[in-house]
Amino acid sequence: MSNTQAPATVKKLTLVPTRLLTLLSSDSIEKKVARDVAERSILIKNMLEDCAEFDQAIPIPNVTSSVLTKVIEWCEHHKNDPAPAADEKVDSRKKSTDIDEWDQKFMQVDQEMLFEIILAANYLDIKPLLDVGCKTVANMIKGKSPEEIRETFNIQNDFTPEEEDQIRRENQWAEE
Amino acid sequence: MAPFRLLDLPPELVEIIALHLEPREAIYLSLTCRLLYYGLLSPRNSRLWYVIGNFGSGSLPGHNRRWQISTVLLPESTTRLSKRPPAPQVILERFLGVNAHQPPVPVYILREELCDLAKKYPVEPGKPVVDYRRLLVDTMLGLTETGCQWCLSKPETDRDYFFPVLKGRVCEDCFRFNAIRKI
Repeated sequence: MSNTQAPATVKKLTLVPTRLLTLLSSDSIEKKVARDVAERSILIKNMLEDCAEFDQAIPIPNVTSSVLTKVIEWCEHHKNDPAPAADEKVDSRKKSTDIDEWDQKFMQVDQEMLFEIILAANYLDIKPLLDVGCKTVANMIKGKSPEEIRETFNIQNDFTPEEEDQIRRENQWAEE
Repeated sequence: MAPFRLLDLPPELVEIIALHLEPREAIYLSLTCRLLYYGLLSPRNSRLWYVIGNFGSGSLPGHNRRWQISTVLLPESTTRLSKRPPAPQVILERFLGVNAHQPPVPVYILREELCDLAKKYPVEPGKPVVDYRRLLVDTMLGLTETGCQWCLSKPETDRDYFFPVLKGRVCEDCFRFNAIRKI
């Protein structure tokens, strides 16, 4: 029975035209994007479900046009990826920092852009993109000593001498 | 090129990054500044360290009964230090039994240094909680009788290697991938 229905379903899907949406960045630049691409963002997907028609541009107030362009590029590439499992625990152990080759190249941006992409992915609720961004930062930490981590992220060592002495005694291995 | 502004990220995102790290790397990160050491990556955030150390797997040395579990207490009464900041700004945290042989270490923490995430895991005054970060550090220091001091995740290997040069006990995998490169 399913065999006879399947072709009709496929035919119906292919006849549906790709609906374009307009996203409005924080710097008032409009970006046209296919609805299925935009719906990689759970935030936008929920907005579209709540409102039947979106004739006007959808404001994305926290994301600039340059960052939005990068996010759309990622969503277009990953538009056919399966959605992440809804019951995936936030605190599940995620030690794998293996990043897909395309994503690795995508993340080869300057530090400020990487920072903005992570914030945008968090705001737009695009968990896979957020995950890639956080993995990229985790890879920047791997293999480094505390002092090297400070240098990488420009973190000020603000421990008092007494605290530093105590911490050093408690964590001798960190200095070796 | 401007460095990545790690500390400007919301605490929940720094936590996601920390969850991608191995225990040793997460501890190194916690040692970089007061904000992380006493805030987001403090023992107070016990759930985070529980996950980082994979204590839920039941296969880690933290479950070995020979381990001494350190405790963290938030006493209602305060212990005074000579340079005590104004009282309303201060939460006193006293670390007990850091390695079971040292006296308690009083440390003052300013309220504004406690990030929001750490506040989600308040400790009832006087109630001890397991300091999972300390457990991980103790393993790495070799204060326990089990566990690879490098990865912690594979304590039960057929062979353990102890290298005086490295001052550590490592499992076979870490011997191949870490230790052997340093000799």
